[in-house]
Amino acid sequence: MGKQYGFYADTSRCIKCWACEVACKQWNGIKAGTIARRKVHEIDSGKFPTPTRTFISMSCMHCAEPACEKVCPAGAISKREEDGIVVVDKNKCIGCHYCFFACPFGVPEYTDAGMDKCDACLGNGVKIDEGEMPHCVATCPTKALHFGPMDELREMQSQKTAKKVVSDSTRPSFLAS
Amino acid sequence: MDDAIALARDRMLTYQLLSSLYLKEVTADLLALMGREPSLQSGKLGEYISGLPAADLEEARVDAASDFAALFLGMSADPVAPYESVYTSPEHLLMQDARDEVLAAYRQEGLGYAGADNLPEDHIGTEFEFMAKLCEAEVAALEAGDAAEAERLRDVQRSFIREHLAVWVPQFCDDVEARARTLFYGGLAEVTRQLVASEADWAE
Amino acid sequence: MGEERSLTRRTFMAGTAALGAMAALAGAMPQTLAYADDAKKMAASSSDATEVKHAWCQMCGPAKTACSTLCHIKDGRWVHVEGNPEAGNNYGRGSKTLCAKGNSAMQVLYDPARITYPMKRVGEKGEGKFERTTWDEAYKAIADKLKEQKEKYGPESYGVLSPQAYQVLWTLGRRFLNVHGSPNYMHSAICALQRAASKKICLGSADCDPGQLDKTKLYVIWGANPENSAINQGKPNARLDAIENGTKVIDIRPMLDGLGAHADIWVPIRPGTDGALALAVLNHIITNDLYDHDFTANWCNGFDKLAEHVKPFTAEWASEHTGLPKEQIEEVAHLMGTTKPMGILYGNGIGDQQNDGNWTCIAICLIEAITGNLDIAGGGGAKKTVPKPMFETKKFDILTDRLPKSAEDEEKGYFAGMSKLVAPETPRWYQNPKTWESGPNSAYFKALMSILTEDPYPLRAVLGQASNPFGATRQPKKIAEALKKLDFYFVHDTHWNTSCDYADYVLPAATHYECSQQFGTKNTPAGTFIAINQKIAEPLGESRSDWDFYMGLAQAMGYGDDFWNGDMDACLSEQLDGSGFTLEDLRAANQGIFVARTDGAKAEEPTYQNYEKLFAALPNGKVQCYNEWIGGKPNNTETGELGYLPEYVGPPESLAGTPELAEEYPLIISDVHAYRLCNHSYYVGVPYLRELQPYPWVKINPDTAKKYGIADGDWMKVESPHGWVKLRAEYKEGISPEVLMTRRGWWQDCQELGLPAYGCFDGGSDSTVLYDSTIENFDPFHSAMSKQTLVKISKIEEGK
Repeated sequence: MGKQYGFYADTSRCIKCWACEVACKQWNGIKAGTIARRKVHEIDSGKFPTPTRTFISMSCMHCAEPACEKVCPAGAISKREEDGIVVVDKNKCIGCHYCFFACPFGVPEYTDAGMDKCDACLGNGVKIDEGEMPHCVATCPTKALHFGPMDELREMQSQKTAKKVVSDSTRPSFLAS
Repeated sequence: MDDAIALARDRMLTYQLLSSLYLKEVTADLLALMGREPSLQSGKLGEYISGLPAADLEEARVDAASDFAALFLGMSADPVAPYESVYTSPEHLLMQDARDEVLAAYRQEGLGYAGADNLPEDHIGTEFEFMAKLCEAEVAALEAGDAAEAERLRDVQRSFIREHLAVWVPQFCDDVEARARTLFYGGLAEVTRQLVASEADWAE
Repeated sequence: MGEERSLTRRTFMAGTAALGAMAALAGAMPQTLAYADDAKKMAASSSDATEVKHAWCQMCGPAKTACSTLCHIKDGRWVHVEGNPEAGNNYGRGSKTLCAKGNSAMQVLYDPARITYPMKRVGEKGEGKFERTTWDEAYKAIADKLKEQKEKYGPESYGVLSPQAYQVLWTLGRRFLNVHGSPNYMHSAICALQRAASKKICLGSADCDPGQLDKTKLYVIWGANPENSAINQGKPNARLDAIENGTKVIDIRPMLDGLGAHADIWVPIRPGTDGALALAVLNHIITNDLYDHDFTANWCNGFDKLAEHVKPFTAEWASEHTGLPKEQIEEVAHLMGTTKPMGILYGNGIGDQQNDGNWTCIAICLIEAITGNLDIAGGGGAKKTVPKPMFETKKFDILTDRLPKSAEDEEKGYFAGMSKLVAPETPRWYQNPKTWESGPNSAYFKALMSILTEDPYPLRAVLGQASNPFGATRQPKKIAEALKKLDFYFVHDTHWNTSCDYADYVLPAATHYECSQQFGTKNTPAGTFIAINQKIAEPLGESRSDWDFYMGLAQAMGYGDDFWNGDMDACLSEQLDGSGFTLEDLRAANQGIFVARTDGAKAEEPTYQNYEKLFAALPNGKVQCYNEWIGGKPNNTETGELGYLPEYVGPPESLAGTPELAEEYPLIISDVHAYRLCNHSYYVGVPYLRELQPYPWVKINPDTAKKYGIADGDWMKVESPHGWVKLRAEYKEGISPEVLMTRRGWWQDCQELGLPAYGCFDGGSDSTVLYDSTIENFDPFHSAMSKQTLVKISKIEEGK
């Protein structure tokens, strides 16, 4: 396989501005009030006057061993050789939801057209092999979201305090700090 | 054949009337004419018309015009946007897929947008105008003895009703009826709903 | 069977067909379709080609030129948007970043509820009865009225509402006021201008906000929300860089917001009590001898008087008012007094939203000053010097000299027009039209009240362009009264709002995406960028741009000679004269034009501690610890004198200040003013933004909510001594159990998502109804109004 691409979310820089969510929707033609491929999650702890708030933007993990691909009865899901991005062929999808139950991260969502999830903006013409960034990454005003080959992301992450993704049985191509 | 021509002509006139009533405010002249038309006596519109002879026509015209503004020209907290895109796109915005589709349908029949104001082409008035033009062409085809062309035009009409009018106009009429301040527009919505229902039946 | 069916259909349509026939004979039917030779051809060749056009983002307000964007248009429809990497947005060239609002901009153009035609009121004010008219008729009626009133009452009887930082009003609007002869620019009094004035009279041209954040050791954020007001304009990104670099951050705000979550210390101060904290910090620094002796000895006017004055303002005293533990006040004060370089970013949350905003800002400025942090590397100000722009455009001339100087102006030594201000925002003697923050300005709310009080005289005509007085200022109930009584009110806007029902004429505004009449520039070390808004779409219906509105009005008034005879292109060309660019050059540039710097010039470190220059305009050329610029001089209502030393007043209703009231109204409420999903009370109907926060929310501490039996997501009634609203509770640990925080301006529905509008009067959801609006309580220097009050709450069953 070529290089595995993935995302790296730096919680030390995320301010929950939602730009990534909206950029994803507008570039992928996702209508308001329907689904969302990317969401900014908030993790809270502690109580007033010293609560903490941590924000992390997440979408599909483009796992090295995607559970969704394994369970799909229609063969609609595949992992690309050249960059490891997991994509779904909506024409083959039968909407059975098996992928949703298999995914440890609850990523798959469904529209009339079939299962829908992040495809690293391949579907809207972004050339990741030429170094172009998915629109969520390009739009982030505080450089809290990154995308690229995993080894390059690991290099970036090493400058920060890494956060471990707990459910990693599917080997998500995702880093956090 | 005469019946077919008469029907097509009646439909053309009906669509033309409704088209104009959604595109522009009703004139005092038309209100006066309405007062004299017996077969519009039922429903809300009938109720409205029965009040006309006694009414000050100019006042009635202004009342209707202000209702038109509040409903269709954005001049209220809760206006009704008379555009198919708003009703059939998930985010209810102007200029969505529906507009592209109806524009393609108009062009397919050799028609282009010629409105003086820059408004989206899926305005209900324009869609009704399209139906009127199709019926007008049907009349011409029937009068010329071209049964095939007449049937083709009826097919186009049926498609347009099934794929567009029947899909959004009923909900649009409900919204207008709910928000109309005058019986005129409440009645117009009622009549429009009935027309589209009848047309939809035919188009099945 | 077919015949039967067609008979039934015919019977059904008999009435409408007959009427249709008569109507067709009676007159012309509107035509929107016509047979065209090329129609079939166009159907066949609908392309998938995308074109890219440039537009300045309008999501922080109309006529802004902060973020340059590229708009992708497919088959005539605007489908995508991104930050323009040519321009140097946010952190510099190459940045394609945009905030959530910027990413939603295309939805504004396709808003289904736009006003499409000029409208004339035909019913009573408030009834909402309008009939369509024409621009010509409307302009004539407006011009006739303005001319009549100018004759009868003087030109000052006309005033214009000022929305947030709005270039149309700064340029064409000001020019119109000056040519007409009115000083009544009705400035909000809720603005950076208030803070700018306070800073000016205390520190002159020095600044507290650090200009080289990478060198700052301690950064104090005080009532400032760039993660809501300016996400893509550099500050949030720069702050996170600084934090990575070791800068420590103290965040003094009632609520723990996005950037606050990254601060080292969060100081959850009670809304409206920042003046008390600032005075206590001064007290601590002076009492503990933490101040810079060299600076205070050489560059402070009346330091000893200040030192004496702040003695009673102990941490214990401040704790009573701020709700903060004494220890935290001391900790923060100590850090500010001992960490250098230290810079303070204070914002809209304190200076412009408190009735003692002037002294609060001044006290904060003095903290920065007496600790010796002004104009040092990493301290306040001291920005790197950026090389000059590669080209110059001409500044718009607002024709200041055309405003008539009255005999009273002469006699009292005022600048022209000041004695005729209906409600001076800052005192008449203080206002100087040559300085940015200073007018001539009347204060928005006070000026509207003049209509009711007729003191000193009532305004007779008001223009509301891009401003909704029911959302923009205090007490909608009083606004309704004033607008009802007002002789003539005319509005130019894209979308209906409550104020429209009180207007005589409502004119349809095109968005700035529907015209090409504004250019902007950005100058950075890399080079200089210039671009104009390209037209993304033709104006909807009969809407006209904000610029063309003024051009038409000026023509109708006979001011054409001063307004390029209505030709906005001529106006723009004049501004471009000498720049090397023509209007055609700009309009042809789909990505704007970037001129790279080729001489190798870079941003340089400035010289530091330029105190003589910075304080030159101040009395005695020194920082005003004891303020002789305003001390002893008349306040803005001419009812008394301004003081010399900072005082704490506090909100009109507060836990410490009005304890008896607090027994019935035990909680404090305020609102966020700016928020990253709206532009004040506009854009609440944009689907991508509304779906993120569909309901009018109020953040509430879970412990407090549980006491009242309110679950997360329940609706609650929130009532102050002045009004009440319905809001949806959202649990939040990052807010004090004593405090509630909401977001105002929910008057726009979002039919797209099936969400209603929430009214702006009692029983609606606009916090504007809750606050005090007593003019005597407003800041006596710059008219800021308190945006905090006390409330009682209860759960309600009924939701929307």
